[in-house]
Amino acid sequence: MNLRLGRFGLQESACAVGLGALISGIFAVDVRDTFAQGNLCYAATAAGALLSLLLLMLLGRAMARFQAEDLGGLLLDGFGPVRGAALGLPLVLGLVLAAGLPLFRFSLAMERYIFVEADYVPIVLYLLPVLLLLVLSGMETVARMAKILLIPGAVALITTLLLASPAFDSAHLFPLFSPGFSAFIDQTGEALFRFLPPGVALFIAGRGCQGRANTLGGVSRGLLLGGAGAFLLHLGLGLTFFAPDMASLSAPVYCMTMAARQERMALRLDVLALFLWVATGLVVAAFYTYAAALLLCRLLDVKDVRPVGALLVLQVVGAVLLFNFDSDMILDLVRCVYRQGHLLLLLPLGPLVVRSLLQRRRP
Amino acid sequence: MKILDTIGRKLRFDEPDGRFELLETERGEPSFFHGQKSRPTPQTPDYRAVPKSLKESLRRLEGAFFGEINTDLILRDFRFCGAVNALAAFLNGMADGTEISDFILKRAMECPLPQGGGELADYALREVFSLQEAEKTDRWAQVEAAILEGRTAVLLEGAREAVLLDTRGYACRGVGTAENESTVVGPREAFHENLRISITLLRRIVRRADLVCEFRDIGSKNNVKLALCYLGGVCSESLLLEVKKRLDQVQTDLLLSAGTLGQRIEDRPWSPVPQTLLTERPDRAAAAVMAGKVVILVEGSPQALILPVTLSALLLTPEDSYLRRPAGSILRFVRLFGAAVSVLMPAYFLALAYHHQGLLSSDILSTVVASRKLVFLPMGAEMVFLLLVFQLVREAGVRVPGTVGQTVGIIGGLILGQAAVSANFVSTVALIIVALTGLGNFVIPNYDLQIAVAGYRVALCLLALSGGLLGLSCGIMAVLVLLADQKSFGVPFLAPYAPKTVVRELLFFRGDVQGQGRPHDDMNGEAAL
Repeated sequence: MNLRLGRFGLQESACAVGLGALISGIFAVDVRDTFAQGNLCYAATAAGALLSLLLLMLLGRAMARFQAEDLGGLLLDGFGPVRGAALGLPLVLGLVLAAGLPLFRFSLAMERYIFVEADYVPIVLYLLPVLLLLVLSGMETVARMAKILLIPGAVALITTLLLASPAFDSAHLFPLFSPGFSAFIDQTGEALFRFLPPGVALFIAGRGCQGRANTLGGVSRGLLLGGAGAFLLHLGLGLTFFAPDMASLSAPVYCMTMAARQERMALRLDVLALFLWVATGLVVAAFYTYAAALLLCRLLDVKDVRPVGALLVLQVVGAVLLFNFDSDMILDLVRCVYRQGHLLLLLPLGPLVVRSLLQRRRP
Repeated sequence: MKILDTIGRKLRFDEPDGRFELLETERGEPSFFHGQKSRPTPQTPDYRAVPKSLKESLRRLEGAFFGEINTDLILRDFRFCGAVNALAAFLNGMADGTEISDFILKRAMECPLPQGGGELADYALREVFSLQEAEKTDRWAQVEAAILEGRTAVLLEGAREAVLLDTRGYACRGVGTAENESTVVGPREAFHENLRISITLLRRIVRRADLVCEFRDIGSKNNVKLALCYLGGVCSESLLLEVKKRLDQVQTDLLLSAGTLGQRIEDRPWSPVPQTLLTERPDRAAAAVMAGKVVILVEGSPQALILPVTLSALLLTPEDSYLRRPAGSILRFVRLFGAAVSVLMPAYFLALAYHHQGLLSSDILSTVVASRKLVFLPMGAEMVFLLLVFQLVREAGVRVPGTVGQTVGIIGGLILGQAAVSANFVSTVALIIVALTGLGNFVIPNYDLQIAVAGYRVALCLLALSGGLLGLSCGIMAVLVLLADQKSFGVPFLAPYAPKTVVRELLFFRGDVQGQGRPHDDMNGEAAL
């Protein structure tokens, strides 16, 4: 067996989930569609984070009922090897897409604003070796990297908010809830795809987390922290731009730091903040990709995670390249991923939670 | 069915069956490209007993030590108590001649024969030889090992046991000062080539009954003696077992220093960063022992090997604790800042100058442009060239003795730099950056880590050249991943930060001395979970 899971503690798991929630919560947003409807994102982010937390707590309870150490085991115990594997595949796909979305936004931001003369493909290819190295190093290293990057991630968040703060104007938030309650429900559903993956990924790697209590603790603390950070940033975005203006920006977070740029600053902190986000995003993408590879190994009884992980890294990078294709079909596909991606995760998790609620606790 | 099983196993990446494989030669398997993977010849342990016949003992000694041509081996025959044929065997120069004459030969010749018979070796040990360390043995291998250490073996006709007497008395220097880990305040003493003296230096600081010094012999033939020092009850049992297991696996005929031993027992031989810490300071080794680590002292090596080691341990110096808390914290902060400058500054400058000129203010940009006006080398080549020249000057300064080394540094730093700028070979800005980088490199306390940082620096420069800040970010991430993935004897290299351990001390600021001095297992992560 070479699953490279290792052992990691509560701090590392909370950091991994927290960074995942922060990065996905901020960067896995379909800017054009979401903001075209008006400024609801910050409220939907908070609601989505809390709803995800509730779902993940139910999933934790299901694991306790089945006495499963990880999500792969829970799927196999709950549905048997064939149905369990079939239900696990959408989870794998969901995690791969969740890993690709932030990297897509970062690559796009770098292409549009930093390397204006460079092509999109070489920029993405720079990320490939690091992602591969992270995934092949295993979960212990990924969790440690998450802990190391927690402070830079927090610095990036605070720097971004501080840089944009001179441009904050509460008038930008009005009209409040303009698109209506149904849009709020839609956006909350979409937000599930941003906040469920980190928790699901930790549940998949739960065996290395030294107990279910640690796993649950990591998920809840991480999601609350990351969700709060994502909420603050979306609120900052709402305070900086009018929603229709924001819909036309390809990288609103980067543009937010530019909105009130100090001309005579010693360092261009906006660019440095972007690269801190990129580094953090790479760890988050590795976290999801490794979890997807581990789940696949668990479901298909593969003994070595490295070839599966390498294959999934190539798929993530392929997806990031594909997302930028200038074709209507791809645009529709990307839009579908943003809007319906959460269904890939809810499809296997929903029946699992329902079944566990109906099942009596194992002696 | 069997074929399907095999295909299924391959597709699932199962572990291969543990089949017996016939190697092409008995010496080992050929390597992928060429040559032979060397495999040490297995040594048969010597289980022979000490012979009763003195003639046979003499024959064995002359055979083992090439007595006919090896004049170092002294085989002095005499009559024990004036009646029994005996032989004193020792190595000239390794043993103290006066002790042998006064306390072995003289007393053995003058003593009376024991009344009522009995074992001669027992009698000699209890009533004849008046040396403080003496033992008897019936194993021939121990007789040879003792002679090699400088002890004297006394063999008696008709006795089944030999008497081994501690007469070690070879010439050695006195206890010197720590030259490579110098501090402004604190002790000055350094470890010694003599194992006993080194242990004494350690015991003078750690005056505890539970300080264990286990002696072991390493190597198949050479039998280098080493001492495994740790605090019993504090040091992790599993760590000790792992260290002993790895030491038992060392098969070598030549072990010159503690550094060589460290390389033979570390986890990743190809990792640029060190996985054991070499120190010449007894106070540093004592602090490590008190923190539950293992210290290995090797006979003939004036350094101690501390393990396991973490990045924070490599970046700290004993002086941090000797100074007051604010001063210690400032020093530590400056050191970490210097290390960061040393790794990142040239690469960051190249990234900005090549790819992100917009990030530099117009004043800085115009200065850079003006300084490079007549320089013909491209900026990237100029920077890498200067970094290599810096390493060259530094290496030359280290290799040549004392004052000449300082002269080399001055010539390299001042004259060569000035001449290079005048000849429009390099720009002043690049020279300043490399000089700052060099200063930052020197504040890193560990020599191995300094070299590793130099390697990382060049790699990051090349990445920054090709990909700007994106390349630099990816490079930094790759370095961090490699560090986070690395372990030293099972302890994560980035502990106690990632993962957290019981240590409360922050990396950037020095902790309170109130908490120091109590023995604790520094790397224990379980209590911190």
